[in-house]
Amino acid sequence: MLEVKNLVVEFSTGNRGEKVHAVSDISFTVNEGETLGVVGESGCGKSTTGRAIMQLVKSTSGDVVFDGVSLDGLSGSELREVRTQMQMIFQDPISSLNPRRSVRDIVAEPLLIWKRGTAEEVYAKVDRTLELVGIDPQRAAESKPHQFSGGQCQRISIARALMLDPRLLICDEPVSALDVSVQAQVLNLLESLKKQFKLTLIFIAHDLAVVKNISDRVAVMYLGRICELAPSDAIYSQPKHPYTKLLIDSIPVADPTVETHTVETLGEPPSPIDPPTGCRFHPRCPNATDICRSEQPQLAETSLGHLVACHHPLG
Amino acid sequence: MSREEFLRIEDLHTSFKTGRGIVRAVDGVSLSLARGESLGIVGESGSGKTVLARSIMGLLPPRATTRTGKIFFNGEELTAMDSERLRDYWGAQIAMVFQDPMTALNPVMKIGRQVTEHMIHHMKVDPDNAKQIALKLLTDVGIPEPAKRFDDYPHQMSGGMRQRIMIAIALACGPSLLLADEPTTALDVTVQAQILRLLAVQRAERNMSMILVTHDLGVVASNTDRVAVMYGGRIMETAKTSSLFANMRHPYTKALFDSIPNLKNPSHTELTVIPGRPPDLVNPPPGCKFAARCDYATDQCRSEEPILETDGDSEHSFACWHPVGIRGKAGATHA
Repeated sequence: MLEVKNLVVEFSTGNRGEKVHAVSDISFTVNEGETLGVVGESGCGKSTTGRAIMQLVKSTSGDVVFDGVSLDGLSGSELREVRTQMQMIFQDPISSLNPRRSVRDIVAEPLLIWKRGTAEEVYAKVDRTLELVGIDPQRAAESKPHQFSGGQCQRISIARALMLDPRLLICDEPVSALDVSVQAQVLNLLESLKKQFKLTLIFIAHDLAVVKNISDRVAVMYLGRICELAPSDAIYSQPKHPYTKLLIDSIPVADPTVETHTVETLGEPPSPIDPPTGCRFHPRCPNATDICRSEQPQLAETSLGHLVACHHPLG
Repeated sequence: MSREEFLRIEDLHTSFKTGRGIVRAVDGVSLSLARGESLGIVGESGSGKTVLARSIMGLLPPRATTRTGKIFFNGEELTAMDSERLRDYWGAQIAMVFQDPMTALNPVMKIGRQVTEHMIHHMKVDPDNAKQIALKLLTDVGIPEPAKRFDDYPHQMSGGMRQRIMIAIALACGPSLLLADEPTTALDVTVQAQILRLLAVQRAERNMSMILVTHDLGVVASNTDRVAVMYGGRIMETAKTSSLFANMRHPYTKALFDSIPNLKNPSHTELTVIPGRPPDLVNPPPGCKFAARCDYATDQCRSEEPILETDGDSEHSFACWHPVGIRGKAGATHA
C-alpha cells in the first residue's frame, strides 16, 4: 500500500555546507491493514520519516509511493487529494487543536473544506465519530480544547483524523504526553478503530513496549537509518542488532526481582550533523570491528521477514 | 529522634490558591526516611508528587501557598525555619535535581561556575580548590574531558550531559538528602539507564538518602528501597519496594501496574485501563479519592476516607477498605 524508497531527508543548519542528516536512505513497505511501528530515540529520524511520508517536509531524494502513485511529482492540488487518504496524529494533543474554536467545529472542518455532504450530514457524522472515540458531542459543541484533558484532546485529534475516511493513519508519538492509565485507554481505542475502519497504521514512538504492543512489525531506527525491521514479537525475543538489544536492556522493568541488565556505558548518540562513518552505531557498539568503522552495513533478511543492518548480527 | 528517622514528615498539607478555588495538592502525607535509604514516590500527573518534593525543600511560592504539618530533617524542624535559615540547607545538606535539564541550568553562566558557585558560598572553599573538586566531580558523573567542558555553556551540551551537570551541582556540597524529581523523564531510555546507575553509585558512595519522584514504576523497581504510591494528594500505599511489587494491596497500585504495556506479552494484547480520570483537587470527592475509578468501590468507599494502615507486615501499609488479595472481600478477584 505504501512504499518508501531510498528516502533521504537533509536539513541545512544555516552554516554553510553543514547539513543535518535526519533520514539517510531508508526503504520499507507498509501492507494494507497492518500496523508498522517505528521506534528510536530523539534525533533518530522517526518523526521526520512520518512527516516526509505526508510530504510535510520535502525529501532530498528518494520516493514515497502510495497506492502505486508517486507522491513526489504531484502538484499541490493532487497532493491535497491524496492526503485525504492519509492522516496524521501528533504528539501534543492540546497544541495541535485550534484553541479558539469549538471542538465540534474542529472535528467538522475536514468535511466542510472538502464539501462532503450538507451541514446536517457533516454534523451527524461528527457526532457519531465523537461518540465513537468517547467524547460527548453535546459537550464538544459547547467547549474549546483547553476545557478537555490531554487524553480527551488526543481522542478529539483521532476523531478529526478519521473524518475523511482515511486508509492510512500516521501516529507520531500519540501517547507519549499522556499518563500511563490514559495511555492505555488511547492505545486500546486506536486498536479498536483500526479494526472497525480497516485502517493501516504507522505508529511512531520512543517507547518500545508501547510500539511492540500495537504493531505487527517494528522498524528500529538509529541516527537516520533503519537498523532492524522484524515482526514485533521477534524484535523482542530475538533482537539481532546490538542497538535493538541495548534499547531493550535499557528499559526499566517494573519488577524488583529482575536483575537489572548491566548496560554498557557507551556514551550518547552522536550528532546527526556529522554522523559516524560505516555503521552509525559503531562508536557505541560493544561488538564493533574495523569493517563496522569503514563499511556501511545494508539491511538484509537473515530469517523470514527479519531484516537487520549489521556486520555482526546477534544470535 | 532515632537514627532510623533521618527525615520525618508529619501530616503535610500543601494547597494553592487558584482562580477556581483552593487546590489541595498534598493532602495529609506522613512519611519517614532513614539515612542512606532511597524512597520512590510514584504517581501520575496531578498526584501531588512534585509538590511534595518541593514542600520538603521549601521551594513553593509563599504568597499563593499554604503549607501545614511538620517536616523534621536530621532532628531540626525545617517547617519552622525562615528562608534565611533554609538557605544553609539548600544545596548544602538537601539538594534537588529537576526534571528538565534544558531549563534548570543558567543559560548564560559557564558550566564550571555553576558547579563551583555554591561550594564557594557554603563551604568557603577558595575558587582554585573549588575548581579541582569540580573537575573530580565532573569526572565522577561521567563528563568526558571535564577540563575542556568547564568553560562551556549549557547549550553546548546534550540533554544527558546537562542532567549529569545538574547532578554534579547537586552533589557538590555533599548533601545528605537528594531530592530527584523525574530526573530521567526528559532523557532517552539508553541515557536514562546511565543516569540511574550514576545516581545509585553516588548514593552508595556517599551514604546519601534519596527521594526519587517518578511516574514510572519501572524506574522505581530497580532504584529504591521503599515506595510510596500517591494519588489525589495522598499516599495510597507504601511498602518496601520488593514487598510492594510482590504483593500490591491497593487497587490503584495494581491498576497502574497493569496498565503498563509489558514487553513480554505478545503484541496486540489488550491493555488494562483505569476508566475515568483523576479527581478534581479543588472539589475532591468525599471518601476514597480513587473510588470513582475503582472497580471494587462500595458505598463505604464513596463516603468514608480510608486511612493508611498496616496489615500484618508492619512496613506495608495501604489506605483501602477493600484491599486486593483478601479472600471474601471485593478486591480478591483481581489479586
